[in-house]
Amino acid sequence: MENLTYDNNTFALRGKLTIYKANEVKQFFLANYSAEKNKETTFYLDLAHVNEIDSTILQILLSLKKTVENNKGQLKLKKSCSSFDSLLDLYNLGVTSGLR
Amino acid sequence: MGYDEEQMREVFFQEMHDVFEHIDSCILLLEKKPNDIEIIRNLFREVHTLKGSSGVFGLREISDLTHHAEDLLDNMREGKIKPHEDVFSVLLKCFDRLKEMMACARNKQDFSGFENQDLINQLSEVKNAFTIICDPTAPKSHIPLTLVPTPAAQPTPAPAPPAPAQPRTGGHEFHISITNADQLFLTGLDPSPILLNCRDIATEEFTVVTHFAQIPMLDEMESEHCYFEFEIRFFSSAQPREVEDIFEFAMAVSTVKIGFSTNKAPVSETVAEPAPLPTRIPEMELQSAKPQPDLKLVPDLKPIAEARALAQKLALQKPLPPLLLLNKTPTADLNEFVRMKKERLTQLMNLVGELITVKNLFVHLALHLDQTLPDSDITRGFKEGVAHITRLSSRLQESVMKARMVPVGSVFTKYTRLVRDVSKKLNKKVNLVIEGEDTELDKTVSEAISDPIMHLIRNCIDHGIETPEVRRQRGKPETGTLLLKASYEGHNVKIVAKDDGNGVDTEKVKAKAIEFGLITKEQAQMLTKKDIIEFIFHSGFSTAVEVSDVSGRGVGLDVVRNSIQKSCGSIFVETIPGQGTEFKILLPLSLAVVEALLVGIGEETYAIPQDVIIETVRVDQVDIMNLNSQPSINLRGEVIPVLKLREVILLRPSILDSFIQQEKAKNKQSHEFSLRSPESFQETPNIAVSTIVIVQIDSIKAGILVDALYWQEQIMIKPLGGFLQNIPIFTGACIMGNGSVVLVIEPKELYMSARVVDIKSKRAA
Repeated sequence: MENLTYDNNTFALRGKLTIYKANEVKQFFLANYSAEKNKETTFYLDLAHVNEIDSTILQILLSLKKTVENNKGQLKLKKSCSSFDSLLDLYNLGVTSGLR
Repeated sequence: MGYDEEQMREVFFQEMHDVFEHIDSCILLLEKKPNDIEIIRNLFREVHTLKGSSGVFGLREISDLTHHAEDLLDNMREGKIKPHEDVFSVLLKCFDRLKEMMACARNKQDFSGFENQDLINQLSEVKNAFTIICDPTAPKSHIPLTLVPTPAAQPTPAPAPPAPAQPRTGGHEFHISITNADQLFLTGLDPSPILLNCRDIATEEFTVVTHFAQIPMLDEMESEHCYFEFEIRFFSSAQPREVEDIFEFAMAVSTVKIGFSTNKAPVSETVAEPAPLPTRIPEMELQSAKPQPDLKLVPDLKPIAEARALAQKLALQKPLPPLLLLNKTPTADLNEFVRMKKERLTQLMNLVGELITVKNLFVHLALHLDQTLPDSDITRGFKEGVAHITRLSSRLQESVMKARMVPVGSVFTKYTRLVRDVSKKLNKKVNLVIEGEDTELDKTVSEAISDPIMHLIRNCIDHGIETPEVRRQRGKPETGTLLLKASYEGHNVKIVAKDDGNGVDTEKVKAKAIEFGLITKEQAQMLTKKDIIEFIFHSGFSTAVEVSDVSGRGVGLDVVRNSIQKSCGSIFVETIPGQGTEFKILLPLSLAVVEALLVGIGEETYAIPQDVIIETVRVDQVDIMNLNSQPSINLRGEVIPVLKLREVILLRPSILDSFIQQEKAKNKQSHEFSLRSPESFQETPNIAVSTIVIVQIDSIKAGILVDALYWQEQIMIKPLGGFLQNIPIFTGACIMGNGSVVLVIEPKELYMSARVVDIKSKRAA
């Protein structure tokens, strides 16, 4: 899907990401991450073009981070968006999640 | 597992439709009982649902406008606003607008063009105009709040006096935890609006700790399963009940613990240092950070537990999205209801109809077998099997028909609003009394009668019920009564719409009928009261002096009758001048499968619905007399017009018919039907005995002359398509067991057509 792209260790998401897209987003992460041979590296998240994000997607991002770190890799937020920032602030996860 | 967004949308809009209906009912009920706190609370909950759900679905404009209405209702719930007619009017207007916006959203139309500022201003105006200004030192006299906690040390006298509301300035420290929330997302809930609502009401120190340690690895996680848990702590001047409301829906699918301290003094005075939770807490610390009994944060959890139970009960009453029904649910009760598309039931009903058709074939085969092989074991076995299939198909049909039944109250409820609006418009006072709302009717029939009853109600209010001044002069109560009553009558449902108004002025109707050229003055003298009242159902007929936008154009009652007849129903009127009018509608319980009598006319077989048949008689040909050129019979002293179906349908033998007859005669096959040659049709008038089916058409009895009576059978009426649908004397067709198609006669239309044929033949003569 054009809203989800993976290139150069960067997961780029776009558009409105809500529960309706949750499974799709999860499968996108799984497929691309599993296909990556070198897991002990840094992966990036690009949310610059995300218009809306909800708790289900946040949860998947946290799961991705956990998965990456479990394989001795790192997940860093390359570009954020206001919707994601607001959600992190509301959940008070800005620091604890390690996603900012 | 993925969501079908369209399916969810459909469920959402259906639910919102129900919510709007409940909101309307609540407001209209409140108008009658303005101080009923339970109605105000129910209304508030519905509005809260509307706001929350539309927010979840991204309908921000709807959510925003609803927020203003919710705010007004919140104040009313608090006893700060006087429940007043003007407030209700603005609220109704507001929800009308929201319905329009929701309709646009459903049709995927842009509704950003709606200018809602006028409504927001009006809501604000009524809020200011009806705010109750009270002395803060004086004891509260407004509606008591039941959820205010009673300090444990304070004994509760019995019966408990209304507990005074906590002053907002006092404030509470709330400590809330949400755990076991795995089903939260599946019910369409997102924690973020809940947290936002808490943040909105927080006056100081709003802290959230989100636990996410339970989130598994990507390959193990279920994307719609909620792994988050929350700890929320804040200070607020809001009442605990308000906080409870925020978590109302979350409580149904997760464990929500709400603790609060009761501080009557301002927060800043009593709590100098509310200890904020650290931003990151290790698991062990988290355990200890959970509410502890010795903190005395929970003065009395009983009311909250009750509220939670109520909230859960209410949540259970709400229709649930299909996904939830498919998954593990917290309570078994959730599985009791399934929302289903109407088409699926219709399809099921069609299949049952087909099954009955096949069953009928087997019944005939069994009879045939009984005649040809009477003592055979095969015959006995076959007959037993057929009897079993007959019983089963009958039970199946009954069950499916029951599933299609809806209480007629679902149609009646919306008339409350109609009565309110129309009576206000006409400056009349009308009290709508609804009785028998639990009476059940086939969904198709109930939908079909919705508009006709609406027409009747408008007519009753416009023409029937007088203005308060006139009613006073006539010694009647200022408020007129409009009774809407449903009940069972045999295999029919009877709906009565009765007013205590003017009644129909038969002299006026007669004069109008003469004026319109429908009858002559001489004919008018011969008409009975019943005949005269019939004119009110004539197209374009109205005795109203003024045409209003409510009624008076004469396009109401003929439409009403036509619609009711299309549903195989009939309408009767009884009126007493000066005392009122009663419209009685008789409707079949279901339209799908009906009992019918199969009759033969010439080579054709027709079905006449059993419910209109009174009896069948055989009369000597000589007893059919022409009265005023109308063939009639004298049946036990009653003169009954006889309709010759053959003439109305213009059945005549063709070359093809003769050919078929010859072939049939050659084969000498025994047929189900008593066949006669086309030539013999011409001789029908000479047959010594005629068979007549006596039917009841509204208030008239008529006889249908047929050539042969066959048998009674359950038939499934299928609508006619193409050019056949424009032939009103046939309501539809049914397929017989042998595959032949039989047309179903609509006796009322047959009667009307026969009269037209009669008039034409008279003119030709």
